Amino acid sequence: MSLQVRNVSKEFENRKAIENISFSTERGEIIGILGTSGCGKSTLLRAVSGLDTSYSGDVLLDGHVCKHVDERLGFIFQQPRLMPWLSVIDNVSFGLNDRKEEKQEKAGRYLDLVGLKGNERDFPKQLSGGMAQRVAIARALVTSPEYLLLDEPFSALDAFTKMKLQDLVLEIWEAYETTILLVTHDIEEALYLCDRLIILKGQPGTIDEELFIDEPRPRSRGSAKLAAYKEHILNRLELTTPVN
Amino acid sequence: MARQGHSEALPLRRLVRAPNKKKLTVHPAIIGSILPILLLFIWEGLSRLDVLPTYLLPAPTVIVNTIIELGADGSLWGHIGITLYRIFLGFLLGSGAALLLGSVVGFYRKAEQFFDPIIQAFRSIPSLAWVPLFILWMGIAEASKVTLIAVGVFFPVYLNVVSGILSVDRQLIEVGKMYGLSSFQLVKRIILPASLPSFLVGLRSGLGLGWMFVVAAELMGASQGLGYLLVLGQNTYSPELIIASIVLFAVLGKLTDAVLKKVESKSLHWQDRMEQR
Repeated sequence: MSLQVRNVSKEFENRKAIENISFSTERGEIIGILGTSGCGKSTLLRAVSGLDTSYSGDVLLDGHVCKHVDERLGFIFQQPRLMPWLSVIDNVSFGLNDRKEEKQEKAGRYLDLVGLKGNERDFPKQLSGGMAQRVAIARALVTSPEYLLLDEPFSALDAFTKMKLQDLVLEIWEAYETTILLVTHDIEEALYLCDRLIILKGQPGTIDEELFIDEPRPRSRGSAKLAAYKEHILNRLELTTPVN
Repeated sequence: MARQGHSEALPLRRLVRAPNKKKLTVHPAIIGSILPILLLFIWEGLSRLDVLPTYLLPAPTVIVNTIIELGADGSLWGHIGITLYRIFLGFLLGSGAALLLGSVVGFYRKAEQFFDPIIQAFRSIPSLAWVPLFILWMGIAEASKVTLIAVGVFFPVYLNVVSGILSVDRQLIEVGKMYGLSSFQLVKRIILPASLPSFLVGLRSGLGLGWMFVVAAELMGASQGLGYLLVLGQNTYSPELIIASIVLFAVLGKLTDAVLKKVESKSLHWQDRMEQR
């Protein structure tokens, strides 16, 4: 069970977005793809997800080339992207094809997991940004994907909600041993969550460095070791003063 | 009394006052009806004092009586019935065709390139210009009237269906794709519900135009219907009959719109709109 990216490049019109990206994941690993904006992080994730198929190179799922969306993959977008006409529970069960009762039962279980028990009948317009993103997380989990792709999933949320949801992701990861691919521009988030960071740099984006985060979990957000990693990454990205 | 006990407690004072304030708030419908009622009284008064020439503008009570008489001798129901029948049929045909063609044009870019230019060209023809041609083709009976109404209803519905489909959020479609939905499932589960608001807006403005065209259709020659009453009133010098049928048109138009509005708010309760805040 592994996800492998082999020499993936992608060109928009006549501008290269990413070039020759290769890496592979191990089962249950959390990998962060970190880089400043415009280095092609999201482009890479869309290629992996199969939403974008006009790239060169290969994405391999469990050893087989996969150039389309696959049910083993779950995607959590930057925005919740809930269907406004569906209630919370129907949004969560959106990707399920079971019988109705089964769908409801499963969706209810995952809503409980993300801490939204009791909100089943609400509609997206009634939810706060953090709640909506929790629903989106439940929707991605309900199909029991082996790989979770996260595209800057918390960047639109306030700092406290963000931390809570990061911990939620860790809980899910512990419970389901999901392999997680997290695209982010938030260095602290990457350091708090990931086993390994792939740092993208330049235009077109190429892999600048692979960094193993050698810090046991549970991690402390204020740990000195993580701070040292952060310093290193900032230097690496030539951002000697902290980014906003 | 409560004030004396809590001279310092500001919030409590507010609590005591609040109910008084609430009594003073007037329902907006009451505010809105002040002017029309006032005008009706002035109109009635001026008519009775013979300031207004009653052979041109009869008093409101005369008009109401006309309607009651029409209702009493039973002819009113025939007129209303045939008008409603025409508008219902025309509306159904027009919006049905618009939904069908609009969906195809919205979904398939090629169909848009193929159909849209000619539809836009037809749209620029003022619909009433079709009247003589329709009469020539279909005679003066029901077919030409219903067709005219359908043509009137078609365009607003068509435009709204197309723009509704084209403006469906690409991000939501991606969610569907991520779950491996087929094109048909994407249409059914995302595109249709997402474009429903726009479709309903189209239906409402289509219905409005339908009422306009039913008048036109009945003016051009009918032996029954509210539009026929207009012509009859003109030919028999009875302004009360004309105004009576104008009033009936207004009431029926409002009622049918209210029905659609009800459908709209029932099926679009999920929308996050200003109105509902």
